[in-house]
Amino acid sequence: MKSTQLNTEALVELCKSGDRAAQLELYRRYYKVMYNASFRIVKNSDDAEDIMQDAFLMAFTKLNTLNNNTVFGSWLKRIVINNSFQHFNKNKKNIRVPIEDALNETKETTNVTDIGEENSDLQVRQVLKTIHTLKDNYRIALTLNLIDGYDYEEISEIMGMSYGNCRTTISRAKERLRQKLKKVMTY
Amino acid sequence: MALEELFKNLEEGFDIMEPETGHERRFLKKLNRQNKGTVIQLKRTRNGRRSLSISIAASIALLLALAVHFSQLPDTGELADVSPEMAETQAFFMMTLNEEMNNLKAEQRPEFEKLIQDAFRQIAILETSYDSLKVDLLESGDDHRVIYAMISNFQKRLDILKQTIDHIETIKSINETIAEEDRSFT
Repeated sequence: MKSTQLNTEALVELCKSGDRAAQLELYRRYYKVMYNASFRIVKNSDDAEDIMQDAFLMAFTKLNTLNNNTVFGSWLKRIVINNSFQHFNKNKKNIRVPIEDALNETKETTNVTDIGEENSDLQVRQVLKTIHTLKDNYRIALTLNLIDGYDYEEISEIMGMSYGNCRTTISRAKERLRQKLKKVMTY
Repeated sequence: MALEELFKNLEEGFDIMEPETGHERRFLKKLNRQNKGTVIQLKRTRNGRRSLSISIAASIALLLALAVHFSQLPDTGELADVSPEMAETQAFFMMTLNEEMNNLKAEQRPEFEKLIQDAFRQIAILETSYDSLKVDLLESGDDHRVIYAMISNFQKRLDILKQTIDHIETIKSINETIAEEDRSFT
């Protein structure tokens, strides 16, 4: 239990020597962020969980290549994002589950206590729903840019497109999102 | 407000999804599998008998350590794993629940279809929350609040079944009275 008080850097250091408790603690700290990042791309709970967990495993075996322990989180997230995008590309042709179903499902399980929180929670759902009505490359580019905070260069790398192409995609996607959001909410 | 600003305001809030319950256990399983894998790799990359025997010894030690570790953890997170008394409690509930389920199934008729379906749906909901309690039980190290929640989960299931059966009995007796009155009129 001592690992709960440790900061992330120290935990990463422990993981390098294969400490299982430290690995589990890192998992507990990061699973949710990673799961959500993946889910926004692959739109499927099981796939997102697999990708998220496999990214942890991969990260644990490659920890020695990480020079700076403080960037563990963003390093791991990049693995998650890359793998999610690859997965998405592979499964492009498969049938997709409408995102509304998944989002509505969680609505029942999340009990939000604070009213202010509830408002922003509703807003988040509305925004996510609207993003998910955009076509796939708009949706992914926008998510990476606006939610995950990647810049054009990183996104063009992740999505395998040119810098210029990436910039136009994102600005068009933003325009589409603005139009669509205008109809459903005031912000 | 600009789009960028909206996203900035909502920033942390976008992580609204949770993986299915039990994801941590599933992860631990994968982690164990991987750890075993690395030992075998070690074995392969080394040459010479001495290092081979060392790595075999190491893998045996690791397996032993894992075995000890997992024998300490109750594997399933069932109420029965807490203590013999709880095992008894669980057995009692399981038995009674089964009995009542069968009683309810015996009432299966078109006019009660909806009632029965509804009861089963509610039971299913309670069963999923029981599953997440199992995980909680493991993670909290047999916290008594989780144990109470588990017991009351069983109790609720029983209540639902009993209520539904009562309900059906009432409807039946009403129908019978009506049928009798009809007969006395004709």
